Order: sequence, then C-alpha cells, then structure tokens
Amino acid sequence: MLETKNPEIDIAQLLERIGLELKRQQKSVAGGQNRVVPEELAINDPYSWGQLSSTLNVAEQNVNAGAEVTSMLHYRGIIRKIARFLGKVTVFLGRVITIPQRNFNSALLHCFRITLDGIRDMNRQTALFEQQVSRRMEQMERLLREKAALVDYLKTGLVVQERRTSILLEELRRQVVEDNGSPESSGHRLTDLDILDPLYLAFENQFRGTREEIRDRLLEYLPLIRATGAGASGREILDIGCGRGEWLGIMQDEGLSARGLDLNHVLVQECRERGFEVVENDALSYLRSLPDNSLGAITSFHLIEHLGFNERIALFDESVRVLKPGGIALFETPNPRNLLVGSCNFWADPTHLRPLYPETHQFLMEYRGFCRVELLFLHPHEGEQRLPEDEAPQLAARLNEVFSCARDYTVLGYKA
Amino acid sequence: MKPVAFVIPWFGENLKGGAEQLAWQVSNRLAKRGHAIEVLTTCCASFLEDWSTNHLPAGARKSGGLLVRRFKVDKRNGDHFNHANSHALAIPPENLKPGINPFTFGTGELFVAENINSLALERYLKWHKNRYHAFVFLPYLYGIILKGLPHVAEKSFLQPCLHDEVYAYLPEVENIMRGCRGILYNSLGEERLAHTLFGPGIDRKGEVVGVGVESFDLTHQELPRQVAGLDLEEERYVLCLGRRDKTKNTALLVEAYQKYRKSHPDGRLKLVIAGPGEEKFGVSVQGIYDLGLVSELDKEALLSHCTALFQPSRNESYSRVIMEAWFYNRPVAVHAECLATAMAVDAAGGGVLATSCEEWAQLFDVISRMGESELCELGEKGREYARQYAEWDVVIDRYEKVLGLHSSDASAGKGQSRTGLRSIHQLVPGFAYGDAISNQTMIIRDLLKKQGYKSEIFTEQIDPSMTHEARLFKDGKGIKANVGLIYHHSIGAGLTDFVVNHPGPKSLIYHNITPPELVRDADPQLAVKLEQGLKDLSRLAPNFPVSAGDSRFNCRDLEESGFISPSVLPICVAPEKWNIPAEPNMMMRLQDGKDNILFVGRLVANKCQHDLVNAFAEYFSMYGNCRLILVGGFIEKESYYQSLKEQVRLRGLEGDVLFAGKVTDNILHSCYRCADLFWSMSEHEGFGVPLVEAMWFDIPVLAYKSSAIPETLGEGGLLFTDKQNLKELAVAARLLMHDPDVRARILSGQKRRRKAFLPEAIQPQLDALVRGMNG
Repeated sequence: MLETKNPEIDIAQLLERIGLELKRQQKSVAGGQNRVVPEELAINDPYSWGQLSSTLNVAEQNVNAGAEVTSMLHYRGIIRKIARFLGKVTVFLGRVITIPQRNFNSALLHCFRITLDGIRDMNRQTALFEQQVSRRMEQMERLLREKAALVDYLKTGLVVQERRTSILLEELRRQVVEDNGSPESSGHRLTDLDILDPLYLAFENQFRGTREEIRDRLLEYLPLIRATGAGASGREILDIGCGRGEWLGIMQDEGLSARGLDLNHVLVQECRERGFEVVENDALSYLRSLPDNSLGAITSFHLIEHLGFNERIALFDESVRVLKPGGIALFETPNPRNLLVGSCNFWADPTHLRPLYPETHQFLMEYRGFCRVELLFLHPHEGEQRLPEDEAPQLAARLNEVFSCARDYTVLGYKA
Repeated sequence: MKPVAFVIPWFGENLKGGAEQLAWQVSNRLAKRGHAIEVLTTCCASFLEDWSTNHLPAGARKSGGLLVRRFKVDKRNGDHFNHANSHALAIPPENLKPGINPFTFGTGELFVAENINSLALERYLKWHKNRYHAFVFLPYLYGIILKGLPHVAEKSFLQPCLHDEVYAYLPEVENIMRGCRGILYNSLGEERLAHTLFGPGIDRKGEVVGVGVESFDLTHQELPRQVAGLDLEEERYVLCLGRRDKTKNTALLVEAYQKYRKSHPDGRLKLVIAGPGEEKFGVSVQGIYDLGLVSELDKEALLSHCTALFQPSRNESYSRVIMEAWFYNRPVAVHAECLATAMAVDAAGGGVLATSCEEWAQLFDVISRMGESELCELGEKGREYARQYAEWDVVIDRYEKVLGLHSSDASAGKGQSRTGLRSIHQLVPGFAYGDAISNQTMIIRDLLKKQGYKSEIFTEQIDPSMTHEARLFKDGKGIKANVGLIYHHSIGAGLTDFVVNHPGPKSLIYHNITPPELVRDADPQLAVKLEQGLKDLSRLAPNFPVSAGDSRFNCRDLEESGFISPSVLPICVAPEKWNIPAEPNMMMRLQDGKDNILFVGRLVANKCQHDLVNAFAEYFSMYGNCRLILVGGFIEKESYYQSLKEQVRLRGLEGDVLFAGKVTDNILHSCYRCADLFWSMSEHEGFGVPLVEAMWFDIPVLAYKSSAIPETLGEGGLLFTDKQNLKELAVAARLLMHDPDVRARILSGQKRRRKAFLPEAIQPQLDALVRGMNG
C-alpha cells in the first residue's frame, strides 16, 4: 500500500519494519497511556493569543506612519514626480502632528507588549493555582472518605459494646436470681466467638470485596434458582452463612421468599437492619430443627470450608432431608485448582479449615443422596491479569491454566 | 569597480579572536588580488579593552593594501550591559528555542543599546552606501553590526560566525540575518545551525565559503623525527591535538584508550596528547604520551606522522586541526554530536564518527587494523575537502564569486533570449499578498523581464498592500492589441470576453478549479463562480491554441474542455517567501516536546480532514504525546467544520487537535517550522502548494495518492494507496518522524524534488510557452 519514487527507499524493507513495529505495538498495550504533557497551562485558546500578537505586529509595522511618501507606482511619468513632490511636502508639513503621533504610537505599543507579557504570566500562574487547588480538593475528599469509614467502624464497635453490656447485665441479673435461689438460667452466655464477631465483620469488609462486587457475582446463580421454582410460597430458600446478606438482597429484589442463617451476631444484626429475615443459629442445629421436605433451595457461599469433614457430611444429609423434591442445594467455595488460591489466598481467612478438592466434594454429595450433581467453575482472572498468549502460546496457556483459572467453584445437586 | 567594505568592531593584525583574524586574512588577501578593499571599524583597540574608549585616532589610514576607516565609539553604560549579559548567560541552554526570544522584556534591547556602538559609523554607512560595491559585516553579535547592517541591507553580506548560544536567539540577530543580501558561512555546520534557527527563508542566499588554514605553509622546513623521545617514524600513534581539558572531552579519549588496551593487551597503537592546558592525562596508563604544549614545528611533525587524528570535543565551531590533518593525508575521528566537525567529516568522507566511550575504544581497534593504504585513502578524501574549504586560494575565489568581484559577473544574462514580441503582460482575476497564483504571476513577470520583455500584471481585484506590484484592469487600458497576453484562469471572472477578443498572441494558464458540487453546501456563491469558471473554459478553448496547466492532472480539465495539447507549467514555490519571522507565541506553543502533525488546506470534505482525524486518533492511541494541526480557512457555522469538531470531541481529542483556521504567513511559518510530519489524506489537489512548502521546511510528507499529489511529490515523500489500514499508516507516520534513517532518506528525496519548483527550474517551460505564443 506504500509507494515512493525515491530510489533510496526500499518499500519492501519499510513494510517489513512496519509489520515488526505493529507486532511490538500489539504486545505493549500501554501505548494509549502515553498522554504525558497536559495541553498548555492556562491559555485556553492560545490561538487567539497568536492572533492578538500578530495584530500587534501589524500595529508595529504601521508605527511609523506618516514618515515616508509611498512609491506612488500607480502613477506614471511626470504625474508621478509631481505626486511624489506633493507627498513629500505634505509629509514635511505633517511632521508637526506625525512626530508626536509616532512617539505616542510606539509608547502605546510598548505598553501593550508589556501588558501582554504580564497577562500571559498571570494566566500561567492562575493555571498553576488551579492545579494546586484541584490537588488539594482531591486530598480533602480522600480524607473525608477515610473518616467516614472510621465512623462506620466505631458505630459497629459501639453496637457490640452495648450488646456486651446488656449480656453482662443479664448475667448479673441471672446471678442475682440464682443467689436468690431460682434454678432456671435462660440468659445468653458470653463466649469467645462473640468477641470475635465484629472482628470477622471488619475482616469481611476488608477481604471479601464490596457488597456490589459480591452481588454481581451472585447474580449468576439466579437462573438456576428460578429454574427449580424455589422462592415461591411454600418453597422457601435458606441461605446458610448469609454474612452481610448480599444474596438475601437479591432474593428480596426478585420477590423470592428467602431466609438467612448466620452465627455471627453482628452480621445478623446488620442483615436485620436491612430488613432481611435472618435466624441467628448454627447451621446444623437449625437444619435439624426443620421438618422434612420443607425448603425449595439451600444455598451457601463460602461456608463449607469453615466446617470439618463430619459436619459437612451432616450438612449434606440434613439438606437432602429438608429439601422438597426437585429442590436445589448449592455450595460455593474457593477453588484449590487455582494454584494461587490453593496455596495462598485460601489462607487469608484464619477461620478456614482446609481447601476442598472439587471432585471429592462432588462425590460426597452424590454419595449422600443428591442427584444430577454438577461442578461450576467460576471467577477466573481476566484481561491484564492473564499472561498474554501471543509470544509463547503453549507455555502461557499452561501457566494461565494453573494461575489464572477459576478462583471459586460451586458444587450443586438436586433432590430427586 | 567600487570598493568592498569589511565592517567589524575591532581590526588589527595581532588581535585574538576568530572573527578578527578572519577579517584580517580575507581583507588582505582580497586586496592582494587587486580589489579595492576598505575596512570600517571603531577606534576601540580590541575586544578586551573598554568598549567606550577611543584608543586609536579616528579617520582614514592606509595600511598595506587596505584603507582602514576608524570611527569613534559611543558612550555606553557598562553596568547595564553587564547586567543584561549576565542575565543572558544565566539562561539554561535547554530553554533556547528557535523563534522565541529568551531575553525577558527589555534586557535584549539593553544588550544591544549598551553594546559597542558607533553612531558615527552608522551615519557614514547611511550617507556613503552608494560609494561601495558591497559590505561584509562580521561577526553577528555586536552593536555596530546589528544596527549598521539595516542601513545598507541591499548591499550587505553577513558573515555571522554563528554559534548555538543565547545571543543567536536575539530578535535583532534574526533581523539582520533576514535583512542582508547574502550570508557567508564558515562551515556546513554553521549553515545547518542557521537553517535550524531561522528556517528555509534564508537558505538560498547563504553560501559556505570556508576558512583558510595557514600553518601548512610551514612544511617547507625540515620536520624533526623525534618529539619528546618518541620516534615518530617507528611508532604507530593516534594524535589528539588542542586544548587538553574537560570541555574538550580529552578524558573520554583516555578512558576509551584504556578500554582498548584492556581488550587488546598487545596492541601497538599509542595515544599522543598535545596542546595547552593545566591537567595531565593518562600519566599512569601505558601507551599514553601527554606531551603538553609543543612547538609549531613539533606539532607539524606529530601531525605528519600520526596514524590518525582523534578530536573527541563536542563543542567545536570550526576545527582547524582537522583540516591540518587532512592536508597531511591523515584520517580523523570526531564526536558525532558535534555539529560542525561531524558535518565536515560526513561531507568529506575523510574519517569516522563516534559517540560513546565504547565506540571510541572500538575506533582505536579499527584504526590499528587499517593498513597504510586504507588510511591514506580516507586522508585523501579529507584532503580533497580541505582543498575546497581550507585552502586560502579556493576560499578567496569563493569570496570573489559571492561578492560579485569578477567584472564579467555583472553584465551577464540580460535580454538574450527575447524573441519577436516586445511586451508580454499577464491578466489575473485577483491579486493578493501571499496568494500562490499572485506569486506565480510575479515570478513569471520577473523571468520575462530578465529576458528583456516589458511585462506587467493586470488584475480585476487588488489587495491594497500590493498596488506597487500590479495594475488595476480597466476595460483593457494599458494592454495594446499587439502585445502578448498570458491569461491566468481559475474561477469565473469578467475577463473572459476581453481575453477572447484580444487580437494579439495569447496563452492561457489554468489553475485548478475545485469541482463546484464539493463546495455547494458550504458556500453556494463560490460554487456559482466555480461553475462559471468551468463553463468559461470551453468558451476559451478555441481561442487559445497555447495553454498550460499547473500539473498534468489539471491539463486533463483543459483537454476535456477542448484545449489542444496543453503543456505543464508548475507553480513556482521558492523558500524566500519564508524570510519572515515566525510567530513567537505559536513557536512557544508548538515546541513543547509533542509530535506535531500538520495538514494545510481549506476545511472541505474533499480534502478529507475527517479521515486525517481518524488516522491521527489511531496514532494517538498507539503512541500518544502528539498534536494534529489543521491549518486552513473554515466558516464557523459550516456543517463540515461542525462535524469535524464533533468527531474530535467524540474521539476525546479536544486538546490534541488544533483548528488553526486561516492564518497569517507568520503563524503558518511557525506551524511549518515546528511540524514533524505533513500528513495528507486529501482526495483533491490541483497542484498542492503546501506539499512543496513542507518539502522546503524539511518536513517528511505522508500523503494519500490522489489527483495531482503523486505528480507534485515526485520522488519526495511517501505515498499510500489504502486509507483503511490506519494502524499501518500510524506506524509509517511514526517511522517518518522518529526513525533517523527513514527520515533522512525521505528528506534527501524531498531536497532533490523541491528544486523543480524554483524559478530557474520552471524557466524552460515558460520559454516553451512564450515560443508557442510567438508562433
């Protein structure tokens, strides 16, 4: 597509170089971010500055008006000579006016130039100020955001402290009753776990991701749930380990009937404040309290990795029992096939017990009575986090398979 | 013949300083050849004395073959000058940019006003200029030069001895560079620097005359065979001659030599350093001999026996030792980043270039491997060059030629080729300053006058500032029936009837008419005129047996309208038009480190600025840090302009595309000066004047192959035939801007091509046209 008649240019060679450069370009995607220098400080429309300055140039060219006679080339011969003579006389007589006028012109022009320079400097400085101010504003906004987060944290702490005080009071009351000889004790007992509740909430906020991110990820499950008809009246959905209630939020928005279950008092409180129905209890004892064939679906996200083997088997058994025929149970957990997740990220949560091998998990569910048990692999790394596959495609693909594949997986099964 | 005057602030045989020495040598040598030479200088004794004291008596005095006239210097305020000067020297070199006055307001004027000045000398120049044949002013930065030259500009030759330093950026310096009649350069490097600082407007009046070297006159003496215990005939050594200090980069050479010895422990090549300077170099290094200051005779001996001369300095304006080495047939190596020396070596082919320490170390190895014949071959090439530019006889010949001192020069070339007709006038619809067609008519007029024809330009509409160049056309007044007439046809004009009826010999030059449908939406009035122009063309055809178009492409229109075998007379595009200052604000704005991509042409759909914006967006996304400048008139409310603006907005390029509009020549000059690439996507150009202008400004051209563009570009620029593959185009643009090799090749093609549009190049075509008119 290129052509030239210049004998020094070898078009084939040039095209080859262009091809090479294109390849190089494709590799470094960052080209677009080269935008370094911001366009001109302050002078918003420098072109009109140019015009201003060239107008002044015109003025400068005419600053000595009236000093010379024009060449009068449009006259010829004797007429031209007379015209030139008359012109000279006029110019000579006019000097009374033209000399002060010329002085005035050049003084004024001088003034304009100085003023123009001054204005340009001022413009530049204004631009600098503007930059500084906007930088400061950004700093302020960041500080405000940090402070708001701190206030939230303190608020939660306050709730917890209130609760502890009330428990203590209750305990005290019980003690008094006991001392007075009453045999019944019905108060709440302060346990280690309670103290850790707000800590876990803070941990979730830091590590699990924002509500919106989690919500987006969970939306993927909606079609599966809808397909089973769960959430209709009489086919309620139970979310075990409902946490901050992202999934319950989706259910509520979709008009599906759902209930959450969590052991963490602070999280339960938070969910209740948001208007979700949540039971504060541990999973197994709650499931055991439910009648057979009573639920449309059981969901649980990032819970089972907190359970021991026996508890997990019990969870599956109870789930099969309480689900209505056609009901679905799904359990999401970190995927140890992703090397980074299995070896590192999994252990970010100190309450995780051990990574769960997907196929074992699938086998267990099938073995305990679920049918059509499937594995879904979710949330792989995408875009820039993946190794580009154009240089050494096989190696990159292999590495991507272990480092960038799905970070979570879900095992799901149905009750026959 | 009238005398030639050299104007210089100080004059005397024993004055130090390059310009003073040069003036002494050149004036005396010219006088010796029998020319009448005068020197106009001041009563101040030398550069080192107080500039407001008259040490020597004023008046004329004979000295050798010269007449030296001295004039009293003016009183001055030295403190003010020193203040301005120290201000100037404090400006960091990276702040120096062509076309921008680095002196803040007032200090530049102060520098000139309190410089060495002489009102008496100025008055003398003003009143006696007619007594002289020519004036040579040197060097560039003193008051008497800056203020004196404008008084005799049309007879003045400036020998600036220009350096890349803060003073060269003074507007007063630009003023004399532009105003003088001719410029004499000492070296190719100096010429290149002037081109960078002032653009192509001064290119054609400059000439590299060279500087003679005297010392090789010594060779008739017997040279010593040993210097400081070194047996010159036995040893092979590289010589480094000149001041030994940091600024001359001697340390780099020592380091490079050490590197060479490390990699070649048994290498026999030695390094000999000689010249003034306090510091000792390479004392502990085996193979290095630092001789310090040596006598002239020893110096000659060292030069004549060395294997090669190495000159590692980066700031030389003219290196005498290089020429000396070449006179001894020795090759030289110089620093590639030193403009003056590198260009000389490059042009001569008498040596090699190096930059980094590694490269210098390699050079030692390369030189040590070379046989005597190879070394001599390089040295011989250098000697050829030195004979051209450093042998006084040749240099003085060149002065004679440039200054027009051969009596035969003056009377050459007038009125030889006139045939038949006595007057050939031109008729053109409109005549305005800066307009390409108007310029063309003036050039044709001058060429015709040179051949002895009477020639005038008549026009229907005239720009008031141009009344001295053309006459207003009034019912054919002033155009007699028997005169030759060249009619320039572009848009419909009321001249058609007149030219059709003109009984004398006539010819028509056709300048492209934009197809009317392309502008109808934007400017219906113009469309009507264009249509009329096309209609008139077929009416004109039977009446004009002789016709020409700007390009082959335009001739097609002529042929279609019934003209018989029209010839081609390209538009003349000479760089002198740009001998005007660039607009400083624009210069400042455009020299901010971004790549400037330029297109010049009215904003209309057939020039395809919309395609250019797309291509630019692609380039921007790949490389960033660039700007598109669209120069060309537009009407704010016009739909094409609005759609372009919207396109730019959608692409998020608002700060990066500059709609400059219809600009003054000064602003256009700035745009050309700062442009890194001229990129055309246009699908309709009848000739393409901006393409040629870009070539004069050494801007690589990348253009879509359409209409007359390939014809105008010839071997210049790079054409493409496919607008779709923007990525590939963007990379091509990148290479044209940033790959030194591709850029250099394209520019050298353009340098050859642009000459085809000079007045002297179109002369034969014009002659053919005139012959046709004569029948």
